[in-house]
Amino acid sequence: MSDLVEITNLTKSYDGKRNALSNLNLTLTKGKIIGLLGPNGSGKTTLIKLMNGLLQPGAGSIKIGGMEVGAQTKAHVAYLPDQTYLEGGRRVSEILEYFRAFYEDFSVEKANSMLQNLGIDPSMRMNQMSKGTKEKVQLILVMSRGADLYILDEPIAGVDPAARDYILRTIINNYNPESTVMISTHLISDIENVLDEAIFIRAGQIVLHSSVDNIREEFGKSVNDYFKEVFAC
Amino acid sequence: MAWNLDSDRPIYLQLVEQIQMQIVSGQYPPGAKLPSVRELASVAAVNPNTLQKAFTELERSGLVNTQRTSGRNVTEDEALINEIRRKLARENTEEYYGKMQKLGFTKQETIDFLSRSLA
Amino acid sequence: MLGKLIKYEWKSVSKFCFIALLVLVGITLLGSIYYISPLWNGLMDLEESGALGEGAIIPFLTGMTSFFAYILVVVGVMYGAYLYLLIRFYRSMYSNEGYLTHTLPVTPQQLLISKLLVSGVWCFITEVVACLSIFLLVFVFIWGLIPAGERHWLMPEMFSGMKMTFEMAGINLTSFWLAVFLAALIGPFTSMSLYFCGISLGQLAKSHRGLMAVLGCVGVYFVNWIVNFIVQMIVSMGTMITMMSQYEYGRVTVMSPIGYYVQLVVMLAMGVGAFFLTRYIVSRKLNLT
Repeated sequence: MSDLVEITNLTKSYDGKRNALSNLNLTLTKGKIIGLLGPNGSGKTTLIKLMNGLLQPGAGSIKIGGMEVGAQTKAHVAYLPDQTYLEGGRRVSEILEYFRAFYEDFSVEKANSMLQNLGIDPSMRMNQMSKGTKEKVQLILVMSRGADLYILDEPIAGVDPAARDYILRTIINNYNPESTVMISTHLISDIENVLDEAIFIRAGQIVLHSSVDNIREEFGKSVNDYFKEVFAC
Repeated sequence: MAWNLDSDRPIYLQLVEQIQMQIVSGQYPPGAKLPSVRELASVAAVNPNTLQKAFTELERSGLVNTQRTSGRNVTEDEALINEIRRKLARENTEEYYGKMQKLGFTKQETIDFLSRSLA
Repeated sequence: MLGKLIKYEWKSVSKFCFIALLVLVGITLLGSIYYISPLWNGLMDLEESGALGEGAIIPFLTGMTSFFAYILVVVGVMYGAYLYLLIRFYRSMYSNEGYLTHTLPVTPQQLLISKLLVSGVWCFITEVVACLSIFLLVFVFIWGLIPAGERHWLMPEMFSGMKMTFEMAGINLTSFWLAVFLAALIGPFTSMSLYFCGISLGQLAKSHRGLMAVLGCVGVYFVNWIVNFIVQMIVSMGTMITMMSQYEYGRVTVMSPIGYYVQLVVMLAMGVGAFFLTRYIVSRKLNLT
């Protein structure tokens, strides 16, 4: 079975009235870099949190590697939240040790070499770092795992172009045919060349799921331009 | 440096063209070893699967060979490389002539203009 | 995984709790030195009768004040440690740190057990150290009041006095200490479990979850208080009825410890119930925003 993620009839509401996601169906296959694209408030983060078990679905199901979201799926999913989430007083080296203890697929060597490349001192504490450095550390933690599924929530929002370039190269360098990377963003033009597939999400529903080259071939325009057309107000 | 890619055409086709260009221009001479998909994808900042697709396309045309052990090489068949060079030259010439025609140049005027400009 | 969770939970909590313990030990030593020191020591020697001399009033007053201040600090440190553990729980589970906590490959049950165990053990340690500290201080305090020649009586006097009081009340000393020990052991775990539950109940709210966590704790406190009150009522009524019936037969009244154990069992049951409710919330109702 090469379907890595199978989401069926997923519905989620925060207030019981308006659906953040309604009856969403989605299948992700192995070995792809996939963009989850949609404007703010379209349900990207909700979907991602559900896939990581941080939210509980109202209805429907999510299966990752054939299993319901739980301790077993979490061992194989590497998640980069859209905010800083590490305890301020902890040192980078302590966090590396923590990750190695809990995630069998975590490589401290890989993390250290990436930290060195960026000139980040592992003895620094999280609260001594700038926001940008914190985000880089979090990305390194995620990309140092050998997960089946990487879920990156807005990894390039609010970072400078050099950092954006670094992030994209890190994702490419860590690509392997057995794993899938899902990147949520609203900055499409920056990552379009890196993607295999694009998923358009609007008002909690998938409106398009296709390969980037298919979109270009079919509509004669970039995913970014097509996105603007689809989501034009 | 990330490669410059147009936004309106499939990416893999543009990758095929760019690599072809690099081979024909001698950046990768006949028989030279090509970088791995991962390396080149990282340099070009493109999706590795898309680059793989471009390589497959290049292999089909015979311009690139894949050895199971030693990776990818540029073909040693210089006749083939020359053929592609001529094909690209023809395409460029046609494109140039098309533009000259739009400017009102006849065929002879274009030839004269060209030889005078480059003299 | 549970072992690792416990290890890292212990690591992250113990620094603060260790400092709290050091503070306790430190002020206990300081206090002891103060009460043994000449400043306080021999106050009673001024007058053979044991009454306070005129010049002794000011040291006596400062002594009393500092003693109460000391008790306040001990209680403060103890509750400070409790509060710290509860805040740690809230932050690691329900603030943005929860993004890491809840994406670890562990079950909610493992998560809660590790937190409950570590917090409970720290509460227990703090409680024991605080009790020992208060006991030591009271002992030294009295020690300082007694003229030097009579101090060797103090220890035996205290124990025989206690024994006599218990015998008069008809309480078996062994079962008394056993009950005290059990309560001291079960107490920290059940109250942590209850307050974890209170904090978690607060997370069911749609907004203001920090405030709701506090309200949840207050709610749990009152529920616990009411249940204890009812149980106590029933138990003391039961005791009264037995005592009265025994009186009728003209026997010596012996207070039964059963009522006390009933309270312990009820406490334990509430702690366990709270644990399962918390587990249900974390595994079925978790909604980090």
